[in-house]
Amino acid sequence: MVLGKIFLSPFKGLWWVFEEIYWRVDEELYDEGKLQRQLLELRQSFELGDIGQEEYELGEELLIARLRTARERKLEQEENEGEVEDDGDDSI
Amino acid sequence: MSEKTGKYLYCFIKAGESEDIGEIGPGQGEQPVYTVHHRDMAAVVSDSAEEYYDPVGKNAMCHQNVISAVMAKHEVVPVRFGVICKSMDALNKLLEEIYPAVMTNLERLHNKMEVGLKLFWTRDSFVKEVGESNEEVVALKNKIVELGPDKGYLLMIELGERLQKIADEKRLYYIENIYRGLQKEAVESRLNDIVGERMVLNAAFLVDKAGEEQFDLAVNRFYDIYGRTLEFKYTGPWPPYNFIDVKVD
Repeated sequence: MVLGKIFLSPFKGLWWVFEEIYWRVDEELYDEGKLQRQLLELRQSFELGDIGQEEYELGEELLIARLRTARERKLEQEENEGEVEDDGDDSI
Repeated sequence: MSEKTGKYLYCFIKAGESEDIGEIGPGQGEQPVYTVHHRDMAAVVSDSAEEYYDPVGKNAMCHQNVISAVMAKHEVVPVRFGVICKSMDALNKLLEEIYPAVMTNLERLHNKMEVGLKLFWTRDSFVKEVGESNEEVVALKNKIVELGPDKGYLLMIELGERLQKIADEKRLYYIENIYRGLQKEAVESRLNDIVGERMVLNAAFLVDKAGEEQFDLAVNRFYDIYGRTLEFKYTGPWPPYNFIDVKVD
């Protein structure tokens, strides 16, 4: 049915596609598990001599910044979920 | 967490009396590392004003150094990097909850040590054993060069898939020959995930301390056979991260 909607409304359809791409890329970039793994691969490449000190440090800085963002988002999400649950409790 | 109310966790040990491990904890300045007790078990901790430590080399090394210092005197159940209890109350509650599991693991791991073996293809052997392992792969590579990256895009995907398959088959060969051989000399063993294309094997072994030399000799025997084509990274003794079943998050 999603395909049908895209064809019926080209503009909204394209927006949906771009949004999907954005979120997929975003999730990929800020997935904590993947970032930890990339950090491990980076360290390994450095220790095997495949990359130099400078490349290692730049890569580490980038991945650590993404990990911080991922963590902040996770905390925000947990807080929001907590608030929703609290609201639910109040209404009972 | 602006005050130092948090307790950064390193490991658990069997100990009746309080101990100062030294001022070797993470953060600005070197934090005192000490023990917090529950019955005949203790957690090794340092005070922390932070809720989170970046998993950078410096912090990870600090975590490992503390555990190594403790391991010189005690058998340990290690805690993974970055676990912080919010308060002393939370830590005491945790100690009470995990006491049986920690003591069971300490008993099981008594007089045993973990060692790690990572094997990598050298750059040359990776090309020989994987990258140019058969005529079809070489022909496919030549075709891609001929077509260029745009037109040869689909062939590049095909080549990637084929190389992946060849590498996995070769890895299985080394698992059968090296890992299975070493497994016989160990109390327990574990195959971990492959990290990066050049990695052949990523294994951890739990070895009796009394059998350490025998295990070293077994690794050396395989090094004599495969040392020209594979890089051996044989490390330890490590805290038994791969062989404990106590989960602390």
